[in-house]
Amino acid sequence: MLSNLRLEGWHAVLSNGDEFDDNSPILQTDNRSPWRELERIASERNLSIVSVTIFKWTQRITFESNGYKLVTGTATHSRINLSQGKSIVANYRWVRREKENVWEWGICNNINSWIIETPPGVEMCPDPYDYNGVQYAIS
Amino acid sequence: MANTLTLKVNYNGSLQTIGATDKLYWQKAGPFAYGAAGAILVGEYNDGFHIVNSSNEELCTSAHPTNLKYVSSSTVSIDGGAAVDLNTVTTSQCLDLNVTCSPAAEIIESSFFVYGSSEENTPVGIRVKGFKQGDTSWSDVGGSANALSLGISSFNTEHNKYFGLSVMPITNGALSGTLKCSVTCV
Repeated sequence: MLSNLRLEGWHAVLSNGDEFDDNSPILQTDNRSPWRELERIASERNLSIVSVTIFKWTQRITFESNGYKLVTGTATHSRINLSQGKSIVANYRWVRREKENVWEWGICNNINSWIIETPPGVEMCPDPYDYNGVQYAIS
Repeated sequence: MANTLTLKVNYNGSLQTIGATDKLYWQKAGPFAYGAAGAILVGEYNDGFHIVNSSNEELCTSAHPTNLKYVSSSTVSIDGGAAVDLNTVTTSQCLDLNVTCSPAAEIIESSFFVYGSSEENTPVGIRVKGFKQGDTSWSDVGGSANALSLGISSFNTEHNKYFGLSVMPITNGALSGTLKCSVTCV
């Protein structure tokens, strides 16, 4: 179950129905992130991650694996105008479904969500405000 | 719970944060001179690098940040010195993109570029060269298509990515751009 009290995070379901989120005690380690620990546990138990929901303030996106690998994380973009001395930082949360021919990204900030497609192998989370490829605003 | 990106550089004898209203200012050789008096000639790269505040007053009054000048595709002049291999530039001579992750995370990709009116456009009137510390050659870093990878980092709460920039005006006038830095974490 997703907590209604937390403002940001993720929730994942394994192929045996077990559910985890980024605050699950079993995922807290000193040498890898909760997501990486979940990937390790799933591999160790010969399970797959079948669903991931990300949430950030008012936004929520769920990706089903449909047999493909899912990954989730965060992205930060900063812009420093060299002559105006103005610095802007934007934080996003994302989930990615890695199909053979396309990587599908669900990305959200505090007030908007987007679906963006990139070629496979693009590890950088696209900036929704600066992406000229395939993009769908979903809220 | 959020990541932060902070640009830092060594000046006045220590590593300093580039404040939200501070500016990076490249000029010709000689003492600090803002505007036309410090203008780099068209077709030449920067011979001076300064940090200024929102009023265009010099902040690096006792020691300037290291000036890194493009000389050739694989060499650099450091603070006016003779050309040396680019990969001899040290981290303390570079801009430092300081990344804090809360909670701790690994960086699976990071990059930077400089853009003009929109992110796919190069800055008008400027050629911008850049490198990641340790690189053996400069890259064009104008526009999003030329974003230069700063690589990955292992799991931690803090990461530092070091890079350098050199600029050359190709037209006259007050020229500028926007530096964009990005990180993706898991």
